[in-house]
Amino acid sequence: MQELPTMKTGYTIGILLLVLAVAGAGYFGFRSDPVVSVLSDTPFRKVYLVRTPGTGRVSLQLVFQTGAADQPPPPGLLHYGEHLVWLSAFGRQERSVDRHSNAWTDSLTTGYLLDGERDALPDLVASLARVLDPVDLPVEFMLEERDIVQREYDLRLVDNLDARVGEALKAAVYTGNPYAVSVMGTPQDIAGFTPEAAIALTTATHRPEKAVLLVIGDVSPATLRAAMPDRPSVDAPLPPLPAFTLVPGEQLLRFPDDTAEPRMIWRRIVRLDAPQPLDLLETQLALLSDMFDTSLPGGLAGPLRYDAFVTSAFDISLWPLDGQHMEIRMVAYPDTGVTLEDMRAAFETALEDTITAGFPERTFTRVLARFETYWPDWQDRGDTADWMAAYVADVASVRREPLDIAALQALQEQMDLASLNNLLKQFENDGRTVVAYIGPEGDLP
Amino acid sequence: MIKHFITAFLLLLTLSACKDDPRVISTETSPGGLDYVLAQVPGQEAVAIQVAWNTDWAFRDGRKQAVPYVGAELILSGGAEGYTAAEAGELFADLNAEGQIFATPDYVFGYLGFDKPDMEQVIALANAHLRAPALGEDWLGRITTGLARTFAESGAQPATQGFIAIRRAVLGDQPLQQALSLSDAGMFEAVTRADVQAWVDEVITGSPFALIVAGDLTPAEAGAAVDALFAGLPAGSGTPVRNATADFSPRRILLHLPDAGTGVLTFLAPIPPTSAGEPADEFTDIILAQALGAGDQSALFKSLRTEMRASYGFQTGIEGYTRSQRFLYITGQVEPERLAEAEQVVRDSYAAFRENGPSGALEDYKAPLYQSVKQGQSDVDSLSTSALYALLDGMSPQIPLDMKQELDAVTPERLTNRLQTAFPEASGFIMLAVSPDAGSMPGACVITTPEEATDC
Repeated sequence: MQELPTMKTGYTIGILLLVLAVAGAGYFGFRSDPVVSVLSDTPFRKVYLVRTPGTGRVSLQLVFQTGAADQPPPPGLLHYGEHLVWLSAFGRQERSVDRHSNAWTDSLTTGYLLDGERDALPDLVASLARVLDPVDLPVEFMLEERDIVQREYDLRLVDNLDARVGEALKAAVYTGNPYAVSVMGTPQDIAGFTPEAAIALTTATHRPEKAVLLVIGDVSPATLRAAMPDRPSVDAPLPPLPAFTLVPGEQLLRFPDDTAEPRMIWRRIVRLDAPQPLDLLETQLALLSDMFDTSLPGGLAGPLRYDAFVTSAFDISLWPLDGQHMEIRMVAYPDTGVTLEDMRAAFETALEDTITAGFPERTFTRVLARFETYWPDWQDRGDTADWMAAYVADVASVRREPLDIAALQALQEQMDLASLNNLLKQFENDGRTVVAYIGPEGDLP
Repeated sequence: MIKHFITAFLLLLTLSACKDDPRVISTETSPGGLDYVLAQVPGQEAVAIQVAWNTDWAFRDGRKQAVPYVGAELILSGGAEGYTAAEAGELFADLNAEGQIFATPDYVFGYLGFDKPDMEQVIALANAHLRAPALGEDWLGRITTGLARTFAESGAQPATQGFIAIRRAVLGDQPLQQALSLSDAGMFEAVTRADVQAWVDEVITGSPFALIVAGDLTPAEAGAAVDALFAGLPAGSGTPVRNATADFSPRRILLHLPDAGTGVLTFLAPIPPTSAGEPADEFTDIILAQALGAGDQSALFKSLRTEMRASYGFQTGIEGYTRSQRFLYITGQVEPERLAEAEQVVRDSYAAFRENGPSGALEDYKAPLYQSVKQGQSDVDSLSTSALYALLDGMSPQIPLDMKQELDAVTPERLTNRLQTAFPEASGFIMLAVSPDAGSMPGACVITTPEEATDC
């Protein structure tokens, strides 16, 4: 099925889940009305409940914290297996039309989604838990499903230049690492899949000790606990991220296409001087992204878009790969008469200038004020619940434990200019740079 | 693409929980004489102002049809009296405000979203851009080049070429078709500053066709705001919206693109505009379109993926060339050698759907919509957009407050009636397949460029 987009939000260090012994639930927020509850002693590695008062429907996600990056070849087999599991658990089962369901596979997780009316929670949980059961489908149907996966490949990659560039960039940027593995595989890979291999893989990966259940809706922890399936309790640690090894160097990719809008995608990964708390790092990099995306001193929009006509549009983003590596990505479209090479040179000069000089206080202060919108209105129960629901889903999908609200609020106070500029300096460390040029052949260097 | 009042209401929802505050929608006149609709939403800090200017630019011969798209972007991008482009962008970011102008063939829409405490600053900034945009040659060149490149890339996609070909078949080569397709890069490069200025002078006037304000504002506050927003704009009430000449007669067309990586199958047929029905009819249409082709329990998913095993999925939707030219479309990717088989499966599946209606209980289709309706009641964007489109259809702007009752009015009988009277027969669709194989669709009119569809 489809891969869910990963939200790049940033969050903070450490997590303190206060487990309530009596209720068997931890909480984020206020004891009297927790926004996020954590149920212990359940059949899943973690169970999070985000309570959204006044909503008549509930949304459930069962996320297995294992993905394409964890698997041996062939690439794409887990994705095919996810199709089979979903079909076995939902796709060929009768269910009410108000129960929307979907599934996804990405590099770090495999997930299943089901929603429905709040009163149907026990049945929804039981239905979702069927993905833990053995796949039970006719062999012929499973073989035909390979054709469906092939059609999905056609939909997502054939005639889709951005997707093809994305696949090539993923392989080049993360070369030598599990993150480089394609989630879907190639048509040749797909044609070689067997149901037996896919079922063996999902049997090994779709384990309760890797599973996080997220429930979003107006239900109490007690109600959710009563809805838990009758399966053995699980106590398991967070599956670690695949180790990342930086392969320093530079690589240039060319994508000639007569009808393509000329553009450059520039990506660089560096190793940090010392490991950083991942959530703090993510928040700092999100703030730096916003600072670069301005025409204020140090920002790139001044030299590239307003003071000079170099790029007609650009998008810059910074994020952590893990606690020791961070990545920067610039997507830029040249202005009329500007070559891709000249645009790259202007971008690298502007970036280096800011890294060398650091952002000034006035830029930091002004962008930090805007950064308030990065967070929810903590005084608004509904806004906080919506934000926390997205946040918990997001961190589960990148194999982290969510922070509680107090820790998130504390994180807001930890943004300071000296730390940001120090972080920025580390983009001068040894790293790996991959540049992709896209456009008509005559426009490519 | 044209949105409609209920669709807009549902699409623009945030997930925030509903506040059970009393809401009032009233028709007001500002101290300066502007008629507008005020949706009062107590307790909301957010304010939304939405405007629609009527235009017939896209229907007139001799007009450069790319001008509205260039102009809409240039007004807000290149600075204005008292603000450089950079200053305006940074100020909008400081205020966490959002401004948009977007052009459609019959209306140009404007949106302004901000927090109430910032209203004075945001209004002043927006007024400068509407009243005295810089429209600089340098920014004009940047925007025309960018749009030409963007449309060239998207227009080269086989699926997009299929839709352009259908548009050609329906609208011929009239200006409206050119305005919707924008398939020639030269259309953008030909736009001059004088063209944009002429369009701005004609369309962006101080007397819009519809104006909505939503937020926790009194009539005095809202009236002062709209007067300030439109201060200094030229008089004029735009040009009357026109109806397009369209030929939706059924045809079978194959667009042969040798380099296409896969096959695409698209069906398109007219359905009545929202202005010709009741609000409950749009809810009915939404439910029917979902039941037909949205999600894994839809009729087309079952027939084409689960049973025929020919496609990853089909998409069904309702859009329009203009507000009066609404259509139902069905589209999906199919391997080229199975296109003809898939065409028949779609027709058979649709015919059965039209005859028998959706499978499952109606209340199950309505349940998610009730939640969306509830959430939208306190969302200023949802309320204002829905009220705006209601006005464009000549309906009451009170519709957003009556959504639950309108949804209540969707019954099995209404579904059946709508299917029989508003939805096309299975034979009533234009079918267009895109394929790398010219023999994929026996009996179809084979073309090699979208322009040739006019002759089919």
